[in-house]
Amino acid sequence: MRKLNKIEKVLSLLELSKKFRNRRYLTGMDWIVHGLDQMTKQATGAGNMSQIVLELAGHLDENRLKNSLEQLIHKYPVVSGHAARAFNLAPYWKIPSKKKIVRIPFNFYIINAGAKKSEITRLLEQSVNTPFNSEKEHLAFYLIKTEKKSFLSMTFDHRLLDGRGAEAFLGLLQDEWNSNFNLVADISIAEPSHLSHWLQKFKAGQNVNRLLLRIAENAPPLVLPLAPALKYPDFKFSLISFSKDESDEIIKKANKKAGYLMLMPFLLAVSVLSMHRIFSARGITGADYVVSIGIDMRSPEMVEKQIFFNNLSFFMLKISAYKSDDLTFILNSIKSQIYDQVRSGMLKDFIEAAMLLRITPLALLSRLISLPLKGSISSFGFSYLGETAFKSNKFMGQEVINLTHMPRVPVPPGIGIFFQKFRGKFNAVLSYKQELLSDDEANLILLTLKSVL
Amino acid sequence: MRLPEEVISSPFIEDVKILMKTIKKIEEILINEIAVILSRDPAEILPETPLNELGVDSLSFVELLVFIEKKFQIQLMESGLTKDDFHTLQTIASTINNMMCS
Repeated sequence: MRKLNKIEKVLSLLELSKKFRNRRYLTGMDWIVHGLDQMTKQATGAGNMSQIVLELAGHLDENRLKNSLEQLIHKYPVVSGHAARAFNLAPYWKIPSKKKIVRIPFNFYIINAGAKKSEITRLLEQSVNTPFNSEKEHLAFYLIKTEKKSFLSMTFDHRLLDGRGAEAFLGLLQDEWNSNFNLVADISIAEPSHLSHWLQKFKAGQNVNRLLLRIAENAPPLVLPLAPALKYPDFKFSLISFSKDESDEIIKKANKKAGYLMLMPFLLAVSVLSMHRIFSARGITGADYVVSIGIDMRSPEMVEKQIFFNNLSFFMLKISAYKSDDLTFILNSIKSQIYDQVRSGMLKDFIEAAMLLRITPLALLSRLISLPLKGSISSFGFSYLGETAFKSNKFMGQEVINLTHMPRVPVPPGIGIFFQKFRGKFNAVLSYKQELLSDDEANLILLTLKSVL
Repeated sequence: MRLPEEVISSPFIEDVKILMKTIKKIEEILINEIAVILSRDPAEILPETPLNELGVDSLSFVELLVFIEKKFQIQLMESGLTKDDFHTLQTIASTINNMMCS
């Protein structure tokens, strides 16, 4: 075989480095999110998707928005990527060249004057329940115009963005639009392959396993029964938006009942109490509720730099169902478990241990995830995202009245309660697979949340 | 007003000076740790700023408590402390000092 001369060697190295520039290794948490996506697709026909809705005090120009989206995705082709496996078996996100970028679907609706709020909610539910057209499509936009307002929803694939990342992505769109798409943003996409420090990963896996064994003592936990897999996406959402005064009151109440800065445990305790009322009314009794709590591992300052992929970890908490009508008991149980899991470094251990799961094919991973809790993952999901990462008061010239999330909770459990804050005002959303709750039960959960908070 | 020389050099004032030095040292340790937890520059963090204004939330607060318990070998969770004891890094430093002395 002819020996390569120096120029050819340099050229082949350049070609190789170009090839590696177009890939981003997936972390263990990214791979878990891929597993949840697979499970949710099997159960509902659509993946682990979520939606952010901007309520705007005016009409947004749809053509301008379309053009802006077009320009944005050409700057960030990562949004049209897809998962693949490298020669070293680590999964990675293949970032396409600019020529192969997939167009973002954009839908536009006008609602008659006098339309009810429920009509807007149905349209938003329809948008978040619509599956993506291909494995390379991870975003879709819907614009709903009413008489005086607009509702812009961005449906996103959790494999590409997590909740706060999605808020920051909309912020990026606004900043790019402001700078006429000349912004030089310091966004990091690179990620090492994490194919070293195996002992550390195995030790983390051991710790996570011990925790899961403790939690699974009385497995399976209490869950609302899912119907046999219906191959249509069918999530419903109920939203409560609190005023600034009401939100300040909630913080005061949390300080008083749960302790200083113990807002998240307080919101979670009230959510457990609300869900417990439904389980009790249905006669679903047993030992424990297990709640999986998504925790964003970035500081607020880092969100703008780490927009893409998943920067998450989890708390797994077990709460005795026999005492779940007592808020003080729930609070103490939550606080002491969070404290123990932070002290033992569990959040970091979940991240490290998940790296070991990357070798697992997705079809097997989705089974492995639900193995410790005998077919379940949790009784319900919960998260509190804190103040939004979308910092601008305006979006493309229109004032932003509110920003809310509508996440499709991975199935199982297919139900969750999620809180976030927009300019100091809380929003709570109950998200559930249609057959899990009746409308009356969903209303009862919201009423309990409102009355206790 | 300047204190008389015999007061300045009294053992009591010496004790106060040592105490202030200890509290400052604890404050410094806490500032460095909260800077790590919040991914911020320690120079931006003032000990008299309330924790909620620094951007400390439930999780970062628990991380700070865990750090304090490990570093200073004291039990905070079951100690019946109130919001006033944890309001700022300054008050936490005094609380730690009191608990260590007692």
